[in-house]
Amino acid sequence: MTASSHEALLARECEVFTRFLIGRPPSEYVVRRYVIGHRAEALAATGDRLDDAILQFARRSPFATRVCDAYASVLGRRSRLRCKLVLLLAVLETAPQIHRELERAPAGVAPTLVMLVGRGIAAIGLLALGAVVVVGARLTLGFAAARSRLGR
Amino acid sequence: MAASITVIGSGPSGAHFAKTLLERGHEVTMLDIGREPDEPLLPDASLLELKDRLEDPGRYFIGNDGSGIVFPSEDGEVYGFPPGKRYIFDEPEGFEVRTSGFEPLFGYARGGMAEAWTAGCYPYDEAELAAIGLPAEAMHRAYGRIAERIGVTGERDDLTGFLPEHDGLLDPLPLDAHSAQIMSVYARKRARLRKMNDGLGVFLGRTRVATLSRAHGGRPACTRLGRCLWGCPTGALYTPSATLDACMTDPRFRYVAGVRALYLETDHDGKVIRVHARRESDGSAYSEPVERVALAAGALASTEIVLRTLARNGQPRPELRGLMDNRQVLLPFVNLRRIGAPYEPDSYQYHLLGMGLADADPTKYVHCQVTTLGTALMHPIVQKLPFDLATSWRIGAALHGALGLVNVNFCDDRRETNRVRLEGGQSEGSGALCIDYSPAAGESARLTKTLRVIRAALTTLGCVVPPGMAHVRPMGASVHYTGTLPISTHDEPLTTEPSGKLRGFSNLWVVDGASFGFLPAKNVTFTLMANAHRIAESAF
Ligand SMILES: Cc1cc2nc3c(=O)[nH]c(=O)nc-3n(C[C@H](O)[C@H](O)[C@H](O)COP(=O)(O)OP(=O)(O)OC[C@H]3O[C@@H](n4cnc5c(N)ncnc54)[C@H](O)[C@@H]3O)c2cc1C
Ligand code: SF4
Repeated sequence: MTASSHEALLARECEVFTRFLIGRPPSEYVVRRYVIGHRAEALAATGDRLDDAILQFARRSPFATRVCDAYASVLGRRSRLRCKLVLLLAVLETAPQIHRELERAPAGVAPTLVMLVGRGIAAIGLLALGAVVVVGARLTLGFAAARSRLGR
Repeated sequence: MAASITVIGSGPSGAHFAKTLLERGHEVTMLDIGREPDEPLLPDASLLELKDRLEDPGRYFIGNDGSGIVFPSEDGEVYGFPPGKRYIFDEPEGFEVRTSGFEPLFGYARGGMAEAWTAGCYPYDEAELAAIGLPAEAMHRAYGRIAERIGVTGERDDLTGFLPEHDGLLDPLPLDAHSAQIMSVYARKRARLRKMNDGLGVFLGRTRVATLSRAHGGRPACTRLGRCLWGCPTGALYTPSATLDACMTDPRFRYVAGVRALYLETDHDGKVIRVHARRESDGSAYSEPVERVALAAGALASTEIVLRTLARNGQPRPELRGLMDNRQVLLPFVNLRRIGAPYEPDSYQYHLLGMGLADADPTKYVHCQVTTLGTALMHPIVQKLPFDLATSWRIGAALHGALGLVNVNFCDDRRETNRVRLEGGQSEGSGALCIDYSPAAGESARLTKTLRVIRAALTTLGCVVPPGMAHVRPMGASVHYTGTLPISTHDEPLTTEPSGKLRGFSNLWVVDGASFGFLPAKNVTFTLMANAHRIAESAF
């Protein structure tokens, strides 16, 4: 992959992931920072095939990202997807203006508790969905590997 | 009579040693690696303003190489490392260190590693000083003198039993709302906390910090910019480069930066006659004749210089034993009574509260610093929650005003297994520095028991530690290195006399932590400064 097509891929990825994290597309600044952030050592390592498959699926849409990340949050904490999302979160929380939006939270105990419970329940559903997707990916990869071993 | 002394290193130990020598009329040459930081950006801006006003805030906060980000692989850390402070620790070309059970940091800055410190300043009590081998009365006076010099804030409270009072204490910094709330619950639950910890008690109070509550010594009071972690731009938070600046105004002070001392050349009587070094800029050799030398390069670097000196004097595989460091455990907590409360972005960023766990043996006291998380970046914390990151972020933002961190510190003692040695040991700087460390027997049980007590104390205060969030930091992480050239009253080779003089040499003093024979739980640097002052006063 050429340097410019790699950057274009990262920019597209950044767009999807930012929509997942904050519900809207990234500014030019955020994209630039996201691309630069890939110089970090933690992102230099290449993942295994399952890691790649999860990342590819996550790039499809913000919802796909959410499902895959719900899985990764429990069973793939060091996955490449997770590292990329942590990078983006760090970029967003230090980006002009966006950091203020990110800090907005319900005021008062009751609204906070309602929010926490709601989000917690939704997260459990997403984790289950994520597990289904990843088990599916595992099976597909296993099947493909077996086929290639048999030379078909 | 005025003496001429060469000091190696400008950290807290070296800077205060030099300052006292100058005050006493001596001549001082300081050899130092001494890297310098960039000028602080927008010094009047608060942390949030910085995010909005800097052209490229990402470069400032997280760095082009992502060094300010805590990635999932760095399990358990709560703070990323500010890119602007990397200059302190980046290892010089060709420096080779091999370790087992220890993750050391070496400081190369003008002002030493405390250019990045959190300014906690805790005097040791008599039992702790005796275990180290330091004279209590002289140290008590020295604490007062250093406090006057750098401005230490604190208060008489329940921690005073563990943190003796001394001269020069300034009023404490104002508490943020979260810390104040914890203290008000403590006031009500005090009796219950006293019964915990096998009846020995858990105590809360103000930490002592070298951050100014009022203008002092030409430095301003803290204006709550919330930038402490990224480097206080006003100087309200003390760093040793301020003391070095004061030394620079004295015509008897000569500062030679950019040189890394390698070994000391001695004559047949064990007198150091020359320091041999290497220039940082081009690796070329540099040397200086000396009359008297003080090692203040930080315990590990001073140890390395002594090892290279021994190698040059014909010792084939030199090693020094007894390396110590404090084990630290990080316990993030949620204060349930603060759920839904806003966080304060414009507040002091480091610890304002301390927690102490008494022990029947006073040297085994456990010391904790309690920090409420104000302007810290949140990605290191939220990524630990078991949810997708969008959800975790929302939860983190909602709990921001309720989050805090207890940093638990344990004492350490000298053990023969913990050693520093040279492999392929050439005095000229080649060969690796090897560090082997293994924890004391029974450490794990001690940690488990202590953490149980702290969790229970936090619960009493209305705070919970979420499961799986405790992080035992690797040895080396607390950066309180000590113990390789211990103070001893016995005439044993390569031990330090109580006066600071190193046995085996006639004109060499150890003024950093290498000479400590024990490491109490309380952060060591205030005692390093006080001891350096004491030696400068009594030996010259
Ligand atoms: C993030 C962080 C937070 C901390 N917070 C606290 C705290 O709150 N409270 C506390 O008590 N302690 C704290 N510490 C520890 C504290 O910084 C150290 O204990 C202290 O800096 C040690 O002082 P020193 O002068 O002995 O050595 P150093 O600070 O290591 O200074 C060594 C000096 O020697 C120079 N040098 C090194 N090698 C050579 C050489 N070969 N030749 C010439 N010069 C050399 C360096 O340039 C430097 O100037 C913290 C440390 C860190 C990293
Ligand atoms: S000590 Fe911290 S809060 Fe105080 S002025 Fe300095 S950066 Fe701001």
